[in-house]
Amino acid sequence: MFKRKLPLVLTFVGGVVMIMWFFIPRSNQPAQIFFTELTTRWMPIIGAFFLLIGLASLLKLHYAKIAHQREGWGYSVITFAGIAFMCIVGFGWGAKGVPLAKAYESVFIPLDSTMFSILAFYMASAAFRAFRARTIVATILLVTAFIVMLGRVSFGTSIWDGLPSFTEWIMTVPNMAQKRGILLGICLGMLATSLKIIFGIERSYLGSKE
Amino acid sequence: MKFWEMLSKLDRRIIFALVFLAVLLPLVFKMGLPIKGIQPPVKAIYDHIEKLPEGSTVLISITYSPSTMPELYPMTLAVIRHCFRQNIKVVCVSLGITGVGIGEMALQEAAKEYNKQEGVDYVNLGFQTGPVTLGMGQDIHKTYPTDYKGIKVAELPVMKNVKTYKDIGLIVDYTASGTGYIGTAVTMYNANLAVGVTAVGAADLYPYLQTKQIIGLMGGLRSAAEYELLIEKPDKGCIRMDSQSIAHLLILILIVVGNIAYFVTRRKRT
Repeated sequence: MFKRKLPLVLTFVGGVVMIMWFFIPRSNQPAQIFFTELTTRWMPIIGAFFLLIGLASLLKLHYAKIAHQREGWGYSVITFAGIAFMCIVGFGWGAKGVPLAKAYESVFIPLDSTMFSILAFYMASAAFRAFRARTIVATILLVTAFIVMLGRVSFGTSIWDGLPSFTEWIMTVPNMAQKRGILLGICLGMLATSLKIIFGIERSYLGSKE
Repeated sequence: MKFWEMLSKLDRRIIFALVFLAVLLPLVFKMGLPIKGIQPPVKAIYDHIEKLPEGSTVLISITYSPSTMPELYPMTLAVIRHCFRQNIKVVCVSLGITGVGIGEMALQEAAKEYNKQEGVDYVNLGFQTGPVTLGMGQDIHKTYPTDYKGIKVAELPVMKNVKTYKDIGLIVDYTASGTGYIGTAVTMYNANLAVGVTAVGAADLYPYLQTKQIIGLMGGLRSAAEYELLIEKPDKGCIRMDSQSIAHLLILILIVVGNIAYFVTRRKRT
């Protein structure tokens, strides 16, 4: 009884207070200041637990891979080595230390950029194989993408001086209209889900039996 | 006909090699392709900073990781350079842990060029968990008690008169996709916000531009190059535009060739 009712009451009170707090104009009332400070203090604490849970989960997953020597277990060893290295550098020399900055600049930045840059190769391959004018809708999409891509690069103006302006029109009129429609749809969905959670209609966060 | 059939079954490794060359060669052999025209949303950010009085403060928010640095770092650097040129103070924050180092790099690079002093003309407040975009509306000093290097914010001259969004002339949020400042800083505290975003993420932000919830928008590398031209300091953005232009051209050719091959081979099959 207590295990079910208490989270529902807390969710209701928290949700209603957050809504009221958001829509009441900022006036630096003591109650508003207290509530802002309360949320700004609580969330870093909750965030720290998330970090611990995330790290523990990651280590558990990779430890199991190494222990059972599953396919690609060598990468798990590198993961452990990477975490250990960054911990030693971070705790040993601190945030101000040169080693952490060097590790960030010389290891993390190139690795992260490399992972993302792979996208360019797959996008080019996909554009060649899958971007086909099979239907009218697909053709409109293809032609629009073609114009926007041309309008965004240096030689676009060599073809037609008005191309950048036409590209800007595509972005600010047809693109914006459909984006706004999608955004409104998403927001209405979020609003409905939030209200269902606040009023206890949606209870899946309490556990699978709910 | 055999040619088109062969083309439609082109090995993806050949495409990969072409993309590699299209990106690499313009960086090695600089072409200096012209960049004509400035997009109005980019010019709006430039004009806003130009109008800010000397000594005012701009908040630079780094909400991206190194993966999107090639597009976003040049525009980050360009705006910081512009602020330093106008003797505007810069406060940098990171909404993600991986952005702290990027902010530090950009500040150090620009500060050296304009002889600016850390703690007096600029500061990197680093990363803080929790609803910081909300907390800064109430009290920046409480949200960030210390800067990135552990120095108390209250002791920094640059932060002496900067307590809330009211003391900030412009927030420029650099992000790989959406921005978290609209719902808080703009809606609740009426702050001025501009956004620097990847080209792919720019489409999502145009509705906010029309409603004037953001005063300006830099989308992708082209905007970075345009901003560099506005401050008359062409750098990484302009150099990389050559590479991006050739890569885009290659993709456009691939789309056209792919479609021709598809229709020719389909006609043969039917």
